[in-house]
Amino acid sequence: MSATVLPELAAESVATAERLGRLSAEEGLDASEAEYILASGLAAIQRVPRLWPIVKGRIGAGTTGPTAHELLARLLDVVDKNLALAGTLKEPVRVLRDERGREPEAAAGLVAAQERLREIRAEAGRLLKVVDAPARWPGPEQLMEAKEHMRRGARLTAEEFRQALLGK
Amino acid sequence: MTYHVEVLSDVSHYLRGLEGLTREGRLAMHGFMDALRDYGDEARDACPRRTPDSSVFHLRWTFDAGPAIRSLDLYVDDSEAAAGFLQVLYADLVPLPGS
Repeated sequence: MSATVLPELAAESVATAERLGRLSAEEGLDASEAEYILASGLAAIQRVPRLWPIVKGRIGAGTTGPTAHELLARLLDVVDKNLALAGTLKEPVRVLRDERGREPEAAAGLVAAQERLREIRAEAGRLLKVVDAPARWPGPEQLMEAKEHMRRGARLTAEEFRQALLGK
Repeated sequence: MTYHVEVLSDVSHYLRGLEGLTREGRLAMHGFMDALRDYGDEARDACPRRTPDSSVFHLRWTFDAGPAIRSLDLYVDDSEAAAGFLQVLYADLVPLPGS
């Protein structure tokens, strides 16, 4: 996967959420404006869950701890900004409800999308604990002993290690 | 710089003995070898050391072991780095939180 696409996708989602959040908080929205903002916001929020398997796949394939942390931090930022957007979209929902005398259809989708974002937030938070768990450094004596064993030749080359771990 | 990565036999024994990893999980775990080989200079610069003059740095490798995504800590000696060698002295599969 490209090293640049995922951060840009995350940044795009955050920017969209912030822009639509600002617009939905504007006073004096008319019904057609409210409907447009609600539809756009809901679509933006519903796209966020598609980032989660990308992030999990990237980490699962093997990556360093700091990279995994950064990927999860970006994802959590996207989730939080879109949860905030979901909150501000209550205003266009109210405008439409007042105008039409019934709950707009998108309102139910908004609730479901919020719930999915909260689930992803919880899963990503659990994974962050795995990534950020404290290291258990070996003692200096253990490292000295390991160095001594290494010096005496108790070591495998990369190819020998690969075969030992994975077989032929 | 591309490094030759060597692994202490005790580390190899420990990693081979880890239970519950799928074949794909072992492959993903093995990726730390490629990372050290190809990005050893970045790791030497960025990874933490107990003291600034220590020859041992700590690399955390996160991967999907099969049943779950896990973190593996590797402690790598770079005292032979000038000759192109990095040596993995110690490994520790970090317990899952709450286990």
